[in-house]
Amino acid sequence: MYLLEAKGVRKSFGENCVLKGVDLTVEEGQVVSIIGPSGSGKSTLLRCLTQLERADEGAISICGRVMTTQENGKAVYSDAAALRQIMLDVGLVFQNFQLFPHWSVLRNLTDAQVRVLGRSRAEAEEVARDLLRKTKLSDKEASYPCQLSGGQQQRVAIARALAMSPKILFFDEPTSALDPELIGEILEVIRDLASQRMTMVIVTHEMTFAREISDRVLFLEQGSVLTFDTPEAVFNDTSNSRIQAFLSLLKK
Amino acid sequence: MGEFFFNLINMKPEVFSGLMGQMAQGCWQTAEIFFYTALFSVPLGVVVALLRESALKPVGAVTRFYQLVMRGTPLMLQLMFVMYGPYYMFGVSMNRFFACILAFVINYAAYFGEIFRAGINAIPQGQYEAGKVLGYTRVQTFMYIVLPQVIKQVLPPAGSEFLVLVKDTALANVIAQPQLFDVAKKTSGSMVSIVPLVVAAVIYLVMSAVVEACFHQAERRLDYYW
Ligand SMILES: Nc1ncnc2c1ncn2[C@@H]1O[C@H](COP(=O)(O)OP(=O)(O)OP(=O)(O)O)[C@@H](O)[C@H]1O
Ligand SMILES: [Mg+2]
Repeated sequence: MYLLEAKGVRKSFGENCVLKGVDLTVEEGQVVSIIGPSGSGKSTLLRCLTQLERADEGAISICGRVMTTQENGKAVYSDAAALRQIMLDVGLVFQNFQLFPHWSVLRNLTDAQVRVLGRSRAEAEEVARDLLRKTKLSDKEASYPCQLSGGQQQRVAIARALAMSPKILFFDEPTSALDPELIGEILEVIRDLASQRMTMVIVTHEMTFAREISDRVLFLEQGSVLTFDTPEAVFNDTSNSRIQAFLSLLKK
Repeated sequence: MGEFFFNLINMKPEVFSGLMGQMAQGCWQTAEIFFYTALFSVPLGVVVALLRESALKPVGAVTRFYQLVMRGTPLMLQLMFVMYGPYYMFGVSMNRFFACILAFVINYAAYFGEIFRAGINAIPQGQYEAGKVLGYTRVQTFMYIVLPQVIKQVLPPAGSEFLVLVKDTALANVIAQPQLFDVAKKTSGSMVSIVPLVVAAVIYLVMSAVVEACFHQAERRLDYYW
Protein backbone atom coordinates (compact mmCIF):
# COMPACT_ATOMS: atom_id res chain seq x y z
CA MET A 1 0.00 0.00 0.00
CA TYR A 2 1.27 3.45 -0.89
CA LEU A 3 1.31 5.93 1.95
CA LEU A 4 2.26 8.63 -0.48
CA GLU A 5 1.51 8.90 -4.16
CA ALA A 6 2.47 11.99 -6.08
CA LYS A 7 2.15 12.28 -9.81
CA GLY A 8 3.18 15.09 -12.10
CA VAL A 9 3.86 17.65 -9.37
CA ARG A 10 4.69 21.03 -10.84
CA LYS A 11 5.50 24.25 -9.07
CA SER A 12 6.70 27.62 -10.31
CA PHE A 13 7.66 30.77 -8.49
CA GLY A 14 6.75 33.41 -11.03
CA GLU A 15 8.82 32.63 -14.12
CA ASN A 16 11.04 30.21 -12.24
CA CYS A 17 9.81 26.67 -12.89
CA VAL A 18 11.14 24.74 -9.89
CA LEU A 19 9.33 21.38 -10.14
CA LYS A 20 8.71 20.08 -13.62
CA GLY A 21 6.46 17.12 -13.12
CA VAL A 22 7.76 15.02 -10.24
CA ASP A 23 6.45 11.50 -9.58
CA LEU A 24 7.07 9.87 -6.22
CA THR A 25 5.59 6.89 -4.42
CA VAL A 26 6.32 5.76 -0.89
CA GLU A 27 5.14 2.45 0.51
CA GLU A 28 4.26 1.95 4.13
CA GLY A 29 7.40 1.36 6.18
CA GLN A 30 9.72 2.57 3.44
CA VAL A 31 12.46 5.12 3.74
CA VAL A 32 12.91 7.31 0.67
CA SER A 33 15.84 9.68 0.34
CA ILE A 34 15.74 12.67 -1.95
CA ILE A 35 19.12 13.80 -3.18
CA GLY A 36 20.32 16.24 -5.79
CA PRO A 37 22.24 19.46 -6.31
CA SER A 38 21.42 22.65 -4.47
CA GLY A 39 18.50 24.49 -6.01
CA SER A 40 17.14 21.38 -7.70
CA GLY A 41 13.82 21.76 -5.88
CA LYS A 42 14.15 19.21 -3.05
CA SER A 43 12.83 21.51 -0.36
CA THR A 44 10.09 22.81 -2.63
CA LEU A 45 8.95 19.24 -3.29
CA LEU A 46 8.84 18.50 0.42
CA ARG A 47 6.99 21.73 1.09
CA CYS A 48 4.38 20.88 -1.55
CA LEU A 49 3.88 17.44 0.01
CA THR A 50 3.49 18.93 3.50
CA GLN A 51 1.14 21.71 2.34
CA LEU A 52 3.54 24.51 3.17
CA GLU A 53 3.49 25.34 -0.52
CA ARG A 54 0.69 24.89 -3.03
CA ALA A 55 1.51 22.79 -6.06
CA ASP A 56 0.41 24.26 -9.39
CA GLU A 57 -0.19 20.85 -10.92
CA GLY A 58 -0.22 17.24 -9.90
CA ALA A 59 -2.20 14.55 -8.15
CA ILE A 60 -1.15 13.88 -4.56
CA SER A 61 -2.57 11.34 -2.12
CA ILE A 62 -1.27 10.75 1.38
CA CYS A 63 -2.31 7.92 3.69
CA GLY A 64 -5.18 7.03 1.40
CA ARG A 65 -6.56 10.57 1.39
CA VAL A 66 -6.70 12.70 -1.71
CA MET A 67 -4.85 15.98 -1.26
CA THR A 68 -5.02 17.15 -4.86
CA THR A 69 -6.29 15.84 -8.14
CA GLN A 70 -5.08 16.90 -11.53
CA GLU A 71 -7.93 18.49 -13.48
CA ASN A 72 -7.68 20.51 -16.68
CA GLY A 73 -3.95 20.98 -16.22
CA LYS A 74 -4.29 22.27 -12.67
CA ALA A 75 -3.95 20.82 -9.19
CA VAL A 76 -7.36 20.91 -7.51
CA TYR A 77 -7.12 20.74 -3.74
CA SER A 78 -9.54 18.83 -1.52
CA ASP A 79 -11.68 20.67 1.02
CA ALA A 80 -10.21 22.16 4.17
CA ALA A 81 -11.33 19.30 6.41
CA ALA A 82 -9.58 16.69 4.26
CA LEU A 83 -6.43 18.80 4.02
CA ARG A 84 -6.38 19.20 7.77
CA GLN A 85 -6.71 15.45 8.27
CA ILE A 86 -3.77 14.91 5.93
CA MET A 87 -1.82 17.53 7.85
CA LEU A 88 -2.33 15.50 11.02
CA ASP A 89 -1.07 12.36 9.30
CA VAL A 90 2.25 13.90 8.34
CA GLY A 91 5.14 15.24 10.37
CA LEU A 92 7.96 17.50 9.24
CA VAL A 93 11.41 18.07 10.70
CA PHE A 94 13.03 21.31 9.62
CA GLN A 95 16.65 21.98 8.81
CA ASN A 96 16.81 24.65 11.51
CA PHE A 97 14.63 22.83 14.08
CA GLN A 98 12.02 25.56 14.60
CA LEU A 99 11.40 24.64 18.20
CA PHE A 100 9.20 27.06 20.13
CA PRO A 101 11.74 29.04 22.17
CA HIS A 102 9.33 30.27 24.84
CA TRP A 103 8.34 26.74 25.87
CA SER A 104 10.27 24.11 27.78
CA VAL A 105 11.26 20.93 25.99
CA LEU A 106 8.34 19.11 27.60
CA ARG A 107 5.83 21.78 26.57
CA ASN A 108 7.23 21.71 23.04
CA LEU A 109 6.27 18.05 22.95
CA THR A 110 2.94 18.21 24.74
CA ASP A 111 1.20 21.42 23.72
CA ALA A 112 0.08 20.33 20.25
CA GLN A 113 -0.96 16.92 21.56
CA VAL A 114 -3.30 18.63 24.00
CA ARG A 115 -4.52 21.51 21.86
CA VAL A 116 -4.63 19.82 18.48
CA LEU A 117 -5.24 16.14 19.22
CA GLY A 118 -7.26 16.72 22.36
CA ARG A 119 -5.20 14.35 24.49
CA SER A 120 -5.22 14.84 28.23
CA ARG A 121 -2.21 16.54 29.76
CA ALA A 122 -1.22 13.37 31.61
CA GLU A 123 -1.44 11.29 28.46
CA ALA A 124 0.52 13.88 26.47
CA GLU A 125 3.25 13.96 29.09
CA GLU A 126 3.49 10.21 29.09
CA VAL A 127 3.94 10.18 25.31
CA ALA A 128 6.48 13.00 25.57
CA ARG A 129 8.52 11.38 28.32
CA ASP A 130 8.59 8.12 26.43
CA LEU A 131 9.94 9.90 23.35
CA LEU A 132 12.46 11.86 25.39
CA ARG A 133 13.73 8.58 26.79
CA LYS A 134 14.12 7.16 23.31
CA THR A 135 16.01 10.22 22.12
CA LYS A 136 18.14 10.22 25.31
CA LEU A 137 16.87 13.59 26.44
CA SER A 138 15.08 12.62 29.65
CA ASP A 139 17.21 14.99 31.71
CA LYS A 140 16.32 17.92 29.45
CA GLU A 141 12.55 18.06 29.75
CA ALA A 142 12.62 21.23 31.84
CA SER A 143 15.25 22.94 29.69
CA TYR A 144 14.51 25.62 27.11
CA PRO A 145 15.60 25.16 23.50
CA CYS A 146 18.25 27.87 23.77
CA GLN A 147 19.99 25.85 26.49
CA LEU A 148 20.49 22.85 24.20
CA SER A 149 23.10 21.99 21.60
CA GLY A 150 22.04 21.88 17.97
CA GLY A 151 21.98 18.11 18.02
CA GLN A 152 19.80 18.05 21.11
CA GLN A 153 17.47 20.65 19.60
CA GLN A 154 17.06 18.58 16.48
CA ARG A 155 16.32 15.48 18.55
CA VAL A 156 13.64 17.45 20.41
CA ALA A 157 12.25 18.55 17.05
CA ILE A 158 12.06 14.94 15.90
CA ALA A 159 10.41 13.94 19.18
CA ARG A 160 7.95 16.82 18.81
CA ALA A 161 6.94 15.57 15.37
CA LEU A 162 6.67 11.97 16.59
CA ALA A 163 4.53 12.99 19.56
CA MET A 164 1.73 13.73 17.10
CA SER A 165 1.84 10.08 15.95
CA PRO A 166 2.31 10.86 12.26
CA LYS A 167 1.94 8.09 9.72
CA ILE A 168 4.67 9.55 7.56
CA LEU A 169 7.57 11.75 8.57
CA PHE A 170 9.40 14.20 6.32
CA PHE A 171 12.89 15.55 6.97
CA ASP A 172 14.43 18.50 5.14
CA GLU A 173 18.19 18.22 5.56
CA PRO A 174 17.95 17.43 9.27
CA THR A 175 21.72 17.53 9.77
CA SER A 176 22.74 20.45 7.56
CA ALA A 177 22.61 23.05 10.32
CA LEU A 178 24.72 20.94 12.66
CA ASP A 179 28.43 20.76 13.43
CA PRO A 180 29.95 17.58 11.99
CA GLU A 181 30.39 15.95 15.40
CA LEU A 182 26.64 16.33 16.11
CA ILE A 183 25.42 14.77 12.87
CA GLY A 184 25.90 11.24 14.15
CA GLU A 185 23.38 11.49 16.96
CA ILE A 186 20.62 12.61 14.58
CA LEU A 187 21.39 9.88 12.07
CA GLU A 188 21.26 7.44 14.96
CA VAL A 189 17.72 8.54 15.84
CA ILE A 190 16.58 8.29 12.23
CA ARG A 191 18.19 4.86 11.88
CA ASP A 192 16.29 3.79 14.96
CA LEU A 193 13.02 4.99 13.47
CA ALA A 194 13.78 3.13 10.27
CA SER A 195 14.31 -0.07 12.21
CA GLN A 196 10.85 0.44 13.71
CA ARG A 197 9.53 0.72 10.14
CA MET A 198 8.56 4.36 10.37
CA THR A 199 7.68 5.66 6.92
CA MET A 200 10.05 8.50 6.12
CA VAL A 201 11.01 10.83 3.29
CA ILE A 202 14.39 12.43 3.86
CA VAL A 203 16.09 15.19 1.93
CA THR A 204 19.78 14.81 2.68
CA HIS A 205 23.31 15.46 1.54
CA GLU A 206 24.64 12.56 3.65
CA MET A 207 25.22 10.10 0.84
CA THR A 208 26.61 7.21 2.86
CA PHE A 209 23.66 7.50 5.18
CA ALA A 210 21.15 7.72 2.34
CA ARG A 211 22.68 4.66 0.79
CA GLU A 212 22.62 2.69 4.02
CA ILE A 213 19.14 3.56 5.23
CA SER A 214 17.00 4.04 2.14
CA ASP A 215 14.73 1.62 0.36
CA ARG A 216 14.50 4.05 -2.53
CA VAL A 217 16.56 7.04 -3.59
CA LEU A 218 15.14 9.82 -5.70
CA PHE A 219 17.63 11.94 -7.58
CA LEU A 220 16.26 15.35 -8.44
CA GLU A 221 17.91 17.69 -10.88
CA GLN A 222 16.52 21.03 -12.01
CA GLY A 223 13.05 20.03 -10.93
CA SER A 224 12.97 16.68 -12.73
CA VAL A 225 13.42 13.17 -11.42
CA LEU A 226 16.58 11.73 -12.90
CA THR A 227 16.19 8.35 -11.22
CA PHE A 228 14.01 6.82 -8.57
CA ASP A 229 15.40 3.43 -7.63
CA THR A 230 17.09 1.32 -4.99
CA PRO A 231 20.24 2.84 -3.48
CA GLU A 232 22.43 0.19 -5.12
CA ALA A 233 21.02 0.99 -8.53
CA VAL A 234 21.34 4.74 -8.07
CA PHE A 235 24.81 4.86 -6.54
CA ASN A 236 26.33 2.13 -8.70
CA ASP A 237 24.91 3.33 -11.97
CA THR A 238 28.19 4.34 -13.55
CA SER A 239 26.43 4.91 -16.84
CA ASN A 240 24.61 7.94 -15.53
CA SER A 241 27.18 10.68 -15.87
CA ARG A 242 25.13 13.33 -14.09
CA ILE A 243 24.67 11.29 -10.93
CA GLN A 244 28.33 10.32 -10.98
CA ALA A 245 29.32 13.95 -11.43
CA PHE A 246 27.15 14.94 -8.47
CA LEU A 247 28.54 12.17 -6.28
CA SER A 248 32.16 12.90 -7.09
CA LEU A 249 31.55 16.58 -6.44
CA LEU A 250 30.30 15.69 -2.95
CA LYS A 251 33.32 13.50 -2.24
CA LYS A 252 35.71 16.41 -2.67
CA MET B 1 11.43 69.98 61.31
CA GLY B 2 7.83 70.08 60.03
CA GLU B 3 7.70 73.76 60.80
CA PHE B 4 10.90 74.33 58.85
CA PHE B 5 9.36 72.57 55.83
CA PHE B 6 6.20 74.68 55.84
CA ASN B 7 8.24 77.83 56.26
CA LEU B 8 10.40 76.78 53.37
CA ILE B 9 7.49 76.28 51.02
CA ASN B 10 5.77 79.30 52.53
CA MET B 11 2.47 77.47 53.06
CA LYS B 12 0.30 76.69 56.07
CA PRO B 13 0.06 72.98 56.91
CA GLU B 14 -3.72 72.88 56.33
CA VAL B 15 -3.32 74.62 52.97
CA PHE B 16 -0.63 72.17 52.02
CA SER B 17 -2.69 69.16 52.99
CA GLY B 18 -5.64 70.57 51.03
CA LEU B 19 -3.36 70.94 48.04
CA MET B 20 -2.14 67.39 48.43
CA GLY B 21 -5.72 66.16 48.48
CA GLN B 22 -6.42 67.88 45.18
CA MET B 23 -3.16 66.59 43.78
CA ALA B 24 -4.02 63.07 44.82
CA GLN B 25 -7.31 63.33 42.99
CA GLY B 26 -5.56 64.70 39.91
CA CYS B 27 -3.08 61.90 40.14
CA TRP B 28 -5.90 59.35 40.23
CA GLN B 29 -7.55 60.95 37.18
CA THR B 30 -4.24 60.85 35.32
CA ALA B 31 -3.85 57.22 36.26
CA GLU B 32 -7.33 56.54 34.90
CA ILE B 33 -6.51 58.10 31.56
CA PHE B 34 -3.28 56.13 31.50
CA PHE B 35 -4.96 52.88 32.45
CA TYR B 36 -7.84 53.01 29.97
CA THR B 37 -5.58 54.14 27.16
CA ALA B 38 -3.19 51.28 27.83
CA LEU B 39 -6.01 48.78 28.20
CA PHE B 40 -7.56 49.52 24.82
CA SER B 41 -4.69 50.81 22.70
CA VAL B 42 -2.43 47.78 23.16
CA PRO B 43 -4.85 45.13 21.84
CA LEU B 44 -6.00 47.59 19.19
CA GLY B 45 -2.33 48.03 18.27
CA VAL B 46 -2.09 44.29 17.56
CA VAL B 47 -5.13 44.59 15.30
CA VAL B 48 -3.62 47.62 13.55
CA ALA B 49 -0.39 45.67 12.98
CA LEU B 50 -2.29 42.73 11.50
CA LEU B 51 -4.44 44.98 9.27
CA ARG B 52 -1.33 46.78 8.09
CA GLU B 53 0.19 43.44 7.06
CA SER B 54 -3.07 42.23 5.52
CA ALA B 55 -2.85 40.32 2.25
CA LEU B 56 -5.56 42.66 0.97
CA LYS B 57 -3.60 45.63 -0.33
CA PRO B 58 -6.33 48.28 0.18
CA VAL B 59 -6.71 47.29 3.84
CA GLY B 60 -2.99 47.77 4.39
CA ALA B 61 -3.06 51.12 2.58
CA VAL B 62 -6.02 52.45 4.58
CA THR B 63 -4.37 51.34 7.83
CA ARG B 64 -1.15 53.05 6.85
CA PHE B 65 -3.02 56.26 6.08
CA TYR B 66 -4.74 56.14 9.47
CA GLN B 67 -1.35 55.71 11.14
CA LEU B 68 0.07 58.61 9.15
CA VAL B 69 -2.74 60.91 10.29
CA MET B 70 -2.43 59.82 13.92
CA ARG B 71 1.34 60.09 13.99
CA GLY B 72 1.56 63.09 11.70
CA THR B 73 -0.73 65.54 13.49
CA PRO B 74 -0.53 66.93 17.04
CA LEU B 75 -2.24 64.81 19.68
CA MET B 76 -3.54 68.07 21.14
CA LEU B 77 -5.35 68.77 17.89
CA GLN B 78 -6.73 65.23 17.82
CA LEU B 79 -8.09 65.66 21.34
CA MET B 80 -9.85 68.89 20.30
CA PHE B 81 -11.16 67.22 17.19
CA VAL B 82 -12.65 64.24 19.02
CA MET B 83 -14.09 66.40 21.78
CA TYR B 84 -15.55 69.27 19.76
CA GLY B 85 -15.66 67.90 16.20
CA PRO B 86 -18.93 65.99 16.68
CA TYR B 87 -20.54 69.09 18.15
CA TYR B 88 -19.45 71.46 15.39
CA MET B 89 -20.37 68.99 12.69
CA PHE B 90 -23.47 67.22 14.01
CA GLY B 91 -24.48 69.07 17.12
CA VAL B 92 -23.61 66.04 19.22
CA SER B 93 -21.79 66.87 22.41
CA MET B 94 -19.28 64.33 23.62
CA ASN B 95 -18.74 63.09 27.14
CA ARG B 96 -15.45 64.68 28.10
CA PHE B 97 -13.78 61.68 29.67
CA PHE B 98 -14.96 59.39 26.89
CA ALA B 99 -13.67 61.78 24.22
CA CYS B 100 -10.36 62.01 26.04
CA ILE B 101 -9.90 58.22 26.20
CA LEU B 102 -11.06 57.77 22.63
CA ALA B 103 -8.54 60.29 21.32
CA PHE B 104 -5.68 58.75 23.31
CA VAL B 105 -6.61 55.22 22.29
CA ILE B 106 -6.80 55.83 18.54
CA ASN B 107 -3.58 57.83 18.70
CA TYR B 108 -1.61 55.30 20.73
CA ALA B 109 -2.97 52.33 18.79
CA ALA B 110 -1.28 53.81 15.71
CA TYR B 111 2.09 53.85 17.48
CA PHE B 112 1.59 50.44 19.09
CA GLY B 113 0.62 49.17 15.64
CA GLU B 114 4.11 50.02 14.41
CA ILE B 115 5.76 48.49 17.45
CA PHE B 116 3.81 45.25 17.08
CA ARG B 117 4.37 45.19 13.34
CA ALA B 118 8.12 45.27 13.87
CA GLY B 119 7.74 42.59 16.55
CA ILE B 120 5.63 40.32 14.38
CA ASN B 121 8.01 40.67 11.44
CA ALA B 122 10.90 39.66 13.67
CA ILE B 123 9.40 36.20 14.22
CA PRO B 124 10.77 33.79 11.60
CA GLN B 125 8.34 32.37 9.03
CA GLY B 126 9.47 28.93 10.17
CA GLN B 127 7.62 29.35 13.47
CA TYR B 128 4.33 29.74 11.61
CA GLU B 129 5.21 26.75 9.45
CA ALA B 130 6.11 24.61 12.46
CA GLY B 131 2.75 25.54 14.00
CA LYS B 132 0.95 24.68 10.80
CA VAL B 133 2.51 21.24 10.32
CA LEU B 134 1.76 20.37 13.93
CA GLY B 135 -1.89 21.01 13.16
CA TYR B 136 -2.44 24.29 14.99
CA THR B 137 -4.98 26.56 13.32
CA ARG B 138 -3.78 29.95 12.11
CA VAL B 139 -5.37 31.66 15.10
CA GLN B 140 -3.80 29.17 17.53
CA THR B 141 -0.41 29.58 15.91
CA PHE B 142 -0.65 33.32 16.30
CA MET B 143 -2.02 33.33 19.83
CA TYR B 144 0.13 30.63 21.41
CA ILE B 145 3.32 30.58 19.36
CA VAL B 146 3.85 33.95 17.72
CA LEU B 147 2.27 36.46 20.10
CA PRO B 148 4.20 35.42 23.24
CA GLN B 149 7.44 35.88 21.34
CA VAL B 150 6.23 39.19 19.93
CA ILE B 151 5.50 40.41 23.44
CA LYS B 152 9.04 39.69 24.53
CA GLN B 153 10.31 41.40 21.40
CA VAL B 154 8.25 44.57 21.90
CA LEU B 155 8.74 45.08 25.63
CA PRO B 156 11.54 47.69 25.34
CA PRO B 157 9.89 49.92 22.72
CA ALA B 158 6.45 49.47 24.31
CA GLY B 159 7.87 50.44 27.70
CA SER B 160 9.25 53.57 26.16
CA GLU B 161 5.86 54.36 24.65
CA PHE B 162 4.17 53.91 28.02
CA LEU B 163 6.56 56.42 29.59
CA VAL B 164 5.58 58.92 26.92
CA LEU B 165 1.93 58.20 27.71
CA VAL B 166 2.42 59.05 31.39
CA LYS B 167 3.42 62.55 30.36
CA ASP B 168 1.07 62.87 27.38
CA THR B 169 -1.91 62.59 29.73
CA ALA B 170 -1.20 66.23 30.52
CA LEU B 171 -2.37 67.09 27.02
CA ALA B 172 -5.92 66.29 28.14
CA ASN B 173 -5.78 69.79 29.57
CA VAL B 174 -6.62 71.13 26.13
CA ILE B 175 -10.16 69.76 26.42
CA ALA B 176 -10.40 70.70 30.10
CA GLN B 177 -10.34 67.10 31.25
CA PRO B 178 -9.40 67.21 34.95
CA GLN B 179 -6.12 65.48 35.75
CA LEU B 180 -2.84 66.12 37.53
CA PHE B 181 -1.50 68.81 35.24
CA ASP B 182 -4.81 70.67 35.32
CA VAL B 183 -4.76 70.66 39.14
CA ALA B 184 -1.14 71.78 39.24
CA LYS B 185 -1.69 74.63 36.84
CA LYS B 186 -4.81 75.93 38.54
CA THR B 187 -3.55 75.68 42.12
CA SER B 188 -0.18 77.15 41.22
CA GLY B 189 -1.97 80.16 39.75
CA SER B 190 -4.41 80.63 42.60
CA MET B 191 -1.78 80.16 45.31
CA VAL B 192 0.83 82.14 43.43
CA SER B 193 3.26 79.36 44.29
CA ILE B 194 5.60 77.07 42.46
CA VAL B 195 5.00 74.29 44.98
CA PRO B 196 2.10 72.64 43.10
CA LEU B 197 4.25 72.45 39.96
CA VAL B 198 7.10 70.85 41.88
CA VAL B 199 4.73 68.37 43.52
CA ALA B 200 3.21 67.52 40.12
CA ALA B 201 6.69 66.97 38.67
CA VAL B 202 7.55 64.60 41.49
CA ILE B 203 4.30 62.67 41.03
CA TYR B 204 4.83 62.30 37.25
CA LEU B 205 8.35 61.11 37.93
CA VAL B 206 7.16 58.55 40.47
CA MET B 207 4.47 57.28 38.10
CA SER B 208 7.08 56.96 35.35
CA ALA B 209 9.40 55.14 37.71
CA VAL B 210 6.65 52.65 38.55
CA VAL B 211 5.91 52.03 34.88
CA GLU B 212 9.62 51.66 34.15
CA ALA B 213 10.04 49.22 37.01
CA CYS B 214 7.10 47.11 35.77
CA PHE B 215 8.64 46.81 32.32
CA HIS B 216 12.06 46.10 33.76
CA GLN B 217 10.55 43.30 35.80
CA ALA B 218 8.63 41.92 32.82
CA GLU B 219 11.78 41.90 30.72
CA ARG B 220 13.63 40.00 33.40
CA ARG B 221 10.84 37.46 33.61
CA LEU B 222 11.03 36.76 29.91
CA ASP B 223 14.79 36.69 29.97
CA TYR B 224 14.85 32.90 30.03
CA TYR B 225 14.80 32.38 26.28
CA TRP B 226 16.61 33.42 23.06
N1 LIG C 1 9.44 31.03 -1.76
C1 LIG C 1 10.16 31.07 -2.89
N2 LIG C 1 9.99 32.10 -3.74
C2 LIG C 1 10.71 32.16 -4.88
N3 LIG C 1 11.58 31.23 -5.28
C3 LIG C 1 11.79 30.17 -4.48
C4 LIG C 1 11.08 30.03 -3.24
N4 LIG C 1 11.47 28.89 -2.65
C5 LIG C 1 12.37 28.33 -3.49
N5 LIG C 1 12.56 29.09 -4.58
C6 LIG C 1 13.47 28.77 -5.69
O1 LIG C 1 13.24 27.45 -6.07
C7 LIG C 1 14.43 26.83 -6.46
C8 LIG C 1 14.60 25.50 -5.72
O2 LIG C 1 14.74 25.77 -4.35
P1 LIG C 1 14.77 24.63 -3.25
O3 LIG C 1 14.92 25.30 -1.95
O4 LIG C 1 13.60 23.75 -3.44
O5 LIG C 1 16.09 23.84 -3.62
P2 LIG C 1 16.83 22.69 -2.82
O6 LIG C 1 16.98 21.56 -3.76
O7 LIG C 1 16.12 22.42 -1.55
O8 LIG C 1 18.24 23.33 -2.54
P3 LIG C 1 19.21 23.17 -1.27
O9 LIG C 1 19.93 21.87 -1.43
O10 LIG C 1 20.14 24.33 -1.39
O11 LIG C 1 18.37 23.22 -0.05
C9 LIG C 1 15.55 27.81 -6.19
O12 LIG C 1 15.91 28.39 -7.42
C10 LIG C 1 14.92 28.84 -5.30
O13 LIG C 1 15.45 30.10 -5.56
MG1 LIG D 1 16.60 22.74 0.51
